[in-house]
Amino acid sequence: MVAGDEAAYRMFYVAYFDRLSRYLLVVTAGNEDAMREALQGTLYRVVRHIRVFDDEAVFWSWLTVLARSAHGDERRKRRRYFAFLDRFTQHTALDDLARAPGADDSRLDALLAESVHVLPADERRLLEEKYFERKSVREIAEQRATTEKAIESQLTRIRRKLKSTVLAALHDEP
Amino acid sequence: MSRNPNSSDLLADVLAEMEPDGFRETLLAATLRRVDRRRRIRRGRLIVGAVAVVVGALMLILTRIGHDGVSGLRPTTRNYELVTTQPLPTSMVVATQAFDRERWIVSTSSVPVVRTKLGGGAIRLLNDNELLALANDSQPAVLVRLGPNVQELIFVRRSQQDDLRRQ
Repeated sequence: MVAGDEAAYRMFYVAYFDRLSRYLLVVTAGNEDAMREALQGTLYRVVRHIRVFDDEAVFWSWLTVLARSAHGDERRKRRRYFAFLDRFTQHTALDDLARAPGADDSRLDALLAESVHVLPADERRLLEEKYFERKSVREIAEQRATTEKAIESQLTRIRRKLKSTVLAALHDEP
Repeated sequence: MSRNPNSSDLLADVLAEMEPDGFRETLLAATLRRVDRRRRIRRGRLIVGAVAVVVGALMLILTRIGHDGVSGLRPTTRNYELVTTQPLPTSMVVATQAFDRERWIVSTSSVPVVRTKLGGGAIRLLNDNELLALANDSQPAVLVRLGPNVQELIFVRRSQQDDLRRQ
């Protein structure tokens, strides 16, 4: 990546896109638009400031710093008058994140688990068959005597419901 | 912290829902464009730096040669101009000496001086008839005009005289 190798950047993108997205989703309190903007800013900062790291944990910590910096810049662009207050609250919230690597993932996992728990039983069962029993959509459809398209449609609807619930929970967090 | 891969997959799929179409690919393309631009800028800076080093070295070398000439040694600054002279060879020295008394040249009348003056009419040019009149029978002559003021006086042999008359 330091040498500007395109293949290296592609590997980095595949390895860290989802993880950075989840992190920024927590940082932005569930605001997807802000998350996407901050993600773009983070990647641009990576290109500009990339250097060699000996430890993956240190590399991830560095990425989170860039992500927070990108998010902070985006917020300052939108709300300049309250920049000081934003930095103060952001600093307080992000301190918690910075101290616990992977805190963003564990928080999202926790929110997801809570959301799944409150789903209707049939929807929860469908998720368990797909994601925990690792059944294919075809197998699930055959067991339920329905079509694959119907199963995919149900899964999509359930995932969107979970996403709305998780994002709302992030937004409402103190 | 190790995460449950099953819940990781579920979370990834949940968060990917309602993601704008092509967002991942568009963001990747934009990122790679920045990588390419940065690589080209870095390469350009290296080339400019190398050229600057070469030009600087060349200028330094040329400056030294211009100041020092063939020796290449840097001269010390002088506030004077040194001028050297050397005596001329003896052969280039022009000297004079007094003539002996016998060599003196004195203007005297020992040299005859011939003076001319315009003729008072004692000499006059002969015309053609007068010139031909000087020839006698024993030595006949013919005056042949070759051009204006150019003529030849030819003395004819007696054996050719009859041929001339006929012509």
